[in-house]
Amino acid sequence: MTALETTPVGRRQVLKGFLIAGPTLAVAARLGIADGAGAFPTKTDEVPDQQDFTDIFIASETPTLYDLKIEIKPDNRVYAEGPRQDIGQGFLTTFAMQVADHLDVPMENMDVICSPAEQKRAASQITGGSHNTRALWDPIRVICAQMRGQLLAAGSQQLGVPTSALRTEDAHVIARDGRKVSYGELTALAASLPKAPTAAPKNSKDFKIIGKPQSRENAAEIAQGKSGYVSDLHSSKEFLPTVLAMAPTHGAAVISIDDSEAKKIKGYIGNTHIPGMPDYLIPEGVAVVAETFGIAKKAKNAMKIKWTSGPMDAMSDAQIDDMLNGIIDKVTSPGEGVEATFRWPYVPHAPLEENTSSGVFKDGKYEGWGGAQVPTTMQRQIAETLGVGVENVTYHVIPAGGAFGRHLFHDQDVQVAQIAQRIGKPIKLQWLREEGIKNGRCRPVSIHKVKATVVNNDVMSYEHRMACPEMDLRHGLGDVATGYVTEYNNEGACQYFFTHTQKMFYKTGPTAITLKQRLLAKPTAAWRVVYSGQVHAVDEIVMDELARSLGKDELDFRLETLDSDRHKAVLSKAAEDAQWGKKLPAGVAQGIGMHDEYKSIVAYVMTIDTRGKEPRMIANHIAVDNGFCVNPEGTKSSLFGQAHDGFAVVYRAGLHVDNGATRESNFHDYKWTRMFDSAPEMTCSILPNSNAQPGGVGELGVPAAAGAAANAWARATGKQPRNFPLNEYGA
Amino acid sequence: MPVITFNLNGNPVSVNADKDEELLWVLRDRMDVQGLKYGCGMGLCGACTSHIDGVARRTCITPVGKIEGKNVTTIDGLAKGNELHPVQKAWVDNDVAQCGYCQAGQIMQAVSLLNQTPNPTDDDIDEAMGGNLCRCGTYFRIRSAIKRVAAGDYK
Repeated sequence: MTALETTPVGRRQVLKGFLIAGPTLAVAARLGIADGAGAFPTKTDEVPDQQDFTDIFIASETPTLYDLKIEIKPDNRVYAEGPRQDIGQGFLTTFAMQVADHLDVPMENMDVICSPAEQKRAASQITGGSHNTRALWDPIRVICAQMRGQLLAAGSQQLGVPTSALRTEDAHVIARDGRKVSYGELTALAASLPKAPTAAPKNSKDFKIIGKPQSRENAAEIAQGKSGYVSDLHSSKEFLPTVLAMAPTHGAAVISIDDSEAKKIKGYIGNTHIPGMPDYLIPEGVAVVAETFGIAKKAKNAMKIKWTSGPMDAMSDAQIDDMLNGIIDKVTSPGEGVEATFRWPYVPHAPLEENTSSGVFKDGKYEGWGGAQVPTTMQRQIAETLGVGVENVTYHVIPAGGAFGRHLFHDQDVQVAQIAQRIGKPIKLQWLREEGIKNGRCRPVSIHKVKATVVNNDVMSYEHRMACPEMDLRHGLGDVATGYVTEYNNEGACQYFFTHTQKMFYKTGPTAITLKQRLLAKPTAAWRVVYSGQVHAVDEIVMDELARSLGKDELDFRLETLDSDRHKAVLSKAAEDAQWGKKLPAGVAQGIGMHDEYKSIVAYVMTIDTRGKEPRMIANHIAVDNGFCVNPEGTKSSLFGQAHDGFAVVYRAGLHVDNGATRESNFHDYKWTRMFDSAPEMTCSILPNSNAQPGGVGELGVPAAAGAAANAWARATGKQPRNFPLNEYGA
Repeated sequence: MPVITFNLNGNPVSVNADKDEELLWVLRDRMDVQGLKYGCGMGLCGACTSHIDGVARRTCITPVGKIEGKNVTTIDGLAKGNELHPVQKAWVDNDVAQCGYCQAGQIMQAVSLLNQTPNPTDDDIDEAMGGNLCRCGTYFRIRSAIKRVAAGDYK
């Protein structure tokens, strides 16, 4: 969108080139256009209003989504492979719920795992963009109806009655006279029969499991320490514990390795240099192998490794900021309003399970275990680095201990394959936390210049200019455009992604949201609510400042300017639950934040107490409209959790770069939300289903929670949040 | 290498290890006890939390030589056979976990808290649980689960 070619309306001069821009009705009236003379559009549609990334994912994945592995076993259990990863958002639970409901099977009969890497899924085996449950919604419904049709045909033969006199329930085919036969007893016969007519696919009024609260399918295993993460799957006596020494500054390379001191440590086995994949920013390093990880870490610290300088060694935060300020688009709107610059630091994903991967390479074949979000890419990269065909690489997808985007790139899979090939033994690789914080991928640092102009108490225009080091999307995003092209045109993929995700859902008149990026050696990756995590958290802060500049209440102003009744209903519910505007002590305040993405809308009202040593979250009231809510229990759990992401990025979390090196190293200096930051009071209201299909919630809340956290602080202190994390700047 | 003897989850065990090896890695790598997790290696995140003589400790910074003759309980030994500990029942019933990686440590820390303070206040919970990091942000349900155990909802 081009900026207004105007002189300020506030000075009552002439507007030029105005009509293309879609101003608000109120503006039209002010310009002297009579009532009934028509109306300017009240909002200019933005790209995501027409086609967002959820649509793109699903359109491009549809050819492979109907290839699901669901098997009915003779013991009447159902085995199903979900072609996605479960990294804590409960994908396997919602997947099991959908299969169970559409098959008429009780949840306790379900056995679900993540599909292994399967190249036949083309670029679509990706867990990201909060699209998984929606993407599989129709395929599961259709496939399970076909399976019920087949079971009814088998039941008809077995019970000697026509299928029209049979029904399915509780994993049985049941006749009107009460005779019944289990799916398990019918499965062999059903498989041998010619293809039967499909049963009627279920509609929402018939759901028994979908839409009802359901605990995680593996909650009991987790509570007993039995859930089995990658590093738990093999004994360290067979798969040798291995850690990595990585470069002290980003992009540096190994010159020499001296392990004479390490050799004195009992239990040290050996080391090998691995090249990583520099083209993909998969770090090279020195792998240190020992009897235990503890010994490997000691041996690693005893190694004398010489490194080259790195391409970023002349850069610290100040130089990175200079670079970003040099490339960022200028704000050009004339006139008065709210104008501000914001900065977010680098933020690593830091899942609590730091990077792990296991693998064995024998006789030209590789078998690996990892938590990749795009396992097909890993399978191809492993094959490439080992010099074998992809058919010789088996890759098991193991639910990971968190990801938040980190496992879109599973660097450790390539590394462990390289180590296993060089050492000639099965290897269990564990990144040390220090290497993860210093050398891992991050949400890139970003600068945001925003200007919202105001004329006669209305928002006239909105500009949001973002600049950041280039985001690495070369894992592909499921569709053809990014799945393969990102490899050659990552910046193009970023712009494509940005355009299809970023929008204002407030009536802000002509609105421009743009991105400028430049590649740096410090590795980046998509991080929960990609780009929006920074962009829209800032927008929420600006909305609050606009409201106050107009002398309006922050809630009322939003309700006046939100795009739709659906948005207003969500915000109104959160505000009602929070008793917005209730009297609070000085230094304590509520803040509002909203977000709209993944076909879902969420609002947070967060209450922050600034009277202690550091600001603390003391209450959270959340409301969400996620289209068709599959699992209210999982939806609430996820949105409660995301309040803590929002709090962390606003108050506590951030990295610094000093001469090409990351300053922080572990959880003492990379600070995340703790129990003592967390609110004892939280509610989450799920609005009645507004759609026939589910929207995503696995990351939806982060920008809203961040906006609410910052806005509460501003209202409590009268200060303006600009540089994050606020605690670093004296909050 | 010295032989170190202690009680692990109710059973006497002995292991060959240097005295300064961290208990976390001795248990995981030498004894195949995998319930406790590595998260930071510096006692900062609590994922490795287990009980030594009934009190929550960070096993990633506990030298195995210090536990000679002591009682070590990991998450793997918290349930009595098939009967889950009340805190484990609360964790399942309140659907606390998301990715679950920190929860072994959270549960062991919560058991230790409730053993010492059967009716903890919010401040008690903040203090006792403040060293256990949950990246998914399950703190609200952890707090709720602890309060429900204290209220006697799980036996």
